[in-house]
Amino acid sequence: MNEQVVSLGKDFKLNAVVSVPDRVEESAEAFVILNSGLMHKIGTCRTSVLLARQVANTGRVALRFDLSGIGDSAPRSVGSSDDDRVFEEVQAAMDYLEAHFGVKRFILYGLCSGSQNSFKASLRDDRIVGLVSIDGYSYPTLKFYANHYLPRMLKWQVWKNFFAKLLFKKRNDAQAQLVTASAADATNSNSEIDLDLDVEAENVWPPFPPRKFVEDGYQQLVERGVRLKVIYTGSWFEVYNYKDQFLDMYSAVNFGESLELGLFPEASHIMSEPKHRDEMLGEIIAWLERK
Amino acid sequence: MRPIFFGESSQQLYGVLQEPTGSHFADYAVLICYPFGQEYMRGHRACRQLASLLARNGVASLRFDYYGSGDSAGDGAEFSLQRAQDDCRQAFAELQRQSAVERIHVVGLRMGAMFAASALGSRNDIRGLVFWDAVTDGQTHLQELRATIDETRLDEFIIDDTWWVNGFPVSPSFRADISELKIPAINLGAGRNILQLVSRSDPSYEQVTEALQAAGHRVEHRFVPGVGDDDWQHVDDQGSLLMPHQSIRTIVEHILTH
Repeated sequence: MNEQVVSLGKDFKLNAVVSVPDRVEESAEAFVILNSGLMHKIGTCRTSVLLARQVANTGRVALRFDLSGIGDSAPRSVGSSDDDRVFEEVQAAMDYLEAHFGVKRFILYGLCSGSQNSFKASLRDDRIVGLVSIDGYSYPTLKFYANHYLPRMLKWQVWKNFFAKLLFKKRNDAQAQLVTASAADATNSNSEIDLDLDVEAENVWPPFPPRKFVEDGYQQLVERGVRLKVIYTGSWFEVYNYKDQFLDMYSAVNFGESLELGLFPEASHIMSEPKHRDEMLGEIIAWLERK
Repeated sequence: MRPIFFGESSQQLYGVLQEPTGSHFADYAVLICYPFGQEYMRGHRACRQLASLLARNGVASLRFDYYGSGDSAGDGAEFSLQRAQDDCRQAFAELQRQSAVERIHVVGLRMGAMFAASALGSRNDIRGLVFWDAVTDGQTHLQELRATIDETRLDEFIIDDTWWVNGFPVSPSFRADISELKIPAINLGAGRNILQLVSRSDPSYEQVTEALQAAGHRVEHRFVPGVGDDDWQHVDDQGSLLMPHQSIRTIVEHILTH
């Protein structure tokens, strides 16, 4: 296995690292790893690097890249929507792999916003034959509500807090700033020096689309024969709290053999626990190698 | 931004060269040394913005991933002080070669300051040093790292005596090596131009500044309060990044005017 820095895109330039196996199996799918939020292409706790190298050891080419404005890719302004921009960039990654390695089928991997972006891209490009989604879309179901609220309703403290909230309007603290900072605080004491920072668009947490849109999308993917590996971590328990919730969320879809679900209740969203991270990566590689 | 791999192919290091834009090109360049572990994740975007602002002011830079970190070769468990220091030297030479300038200003963020100071501090071709929220005492930093490990899940986060701190391994040998390091005790040459930039009010930083001044270095001590949660060690489920814009501006202004 070796790794190369490559540049993606014709009218724009995205930075990527491709992990190339000693012997590339052209008939196998290539693996494309998307950003998660603003994390650059190494992934949370370097998980994307580990995954890319493990995928390459199966004979598949793996590519991790930064979408425009994230990590080591420059921002670009386009007239089209954010979804269109991301789709163009995912296509650029696949086009590169097709042109340089002859691969025509792709599996996309994404955590969080990466899962959402890979899902939306897969609806628009038939070359995508598999998705690995970690902590992707989730919508409450009846069983979710039961799991979520029943244990709470049996606790006196919860009722106490509930009535306390009714009686005393809680002052809201300002929402914690995740990644934003005002550019207006510049105190340029030397007019010769350019101290205007590029404060790029940093809203990477768009609201989930309507559940029906996602359900219809999965129906389309299943009909196309796209393989799905879907995993949720314990950090998502506020929105996803039992293994088969995915099936109940999209009950109109008959996933059959196309879907493999995983739940890692003790793992965090950023996969900072080595044991759970290794198990998760092991599951993904095993799924990848299953025909 | 021009990403490159450099160094021996089996142990290649990933770096991003930022070439200057505009009409004025500085006769020096800037080497940016990242922090270690989760702090590297949190600081990556800030370092990119620093490089971008330097480029707009005519200064080339290189930021790079140490062996066993980021996009560089190697496993996190192989991360060592010796290797990180070697990587700093290799990156320094690579930046001189790529930018065709000899004098390099070195910026080290958090543990990156310690790596850079110990690897490069005494060189004659250094233009200046920026210690950005530097880890100034290895032993104290180790205590802080150890305190982040959940005491109720020690079997998950201490494996074969390796600490797993917010997803990154800290090996026993690495701990032993950095426990001995203190920035004031490092040979930084003579009369060095240093910016000590801190976003947290902490008397230990002032003591370090005083010690460096007493050793004959020209030290500018700047306190720039952070924005929001300014703790480099902070970690949450979003993997949120820290964007200390005013600190970045202060560093650029310092480098351009010293």
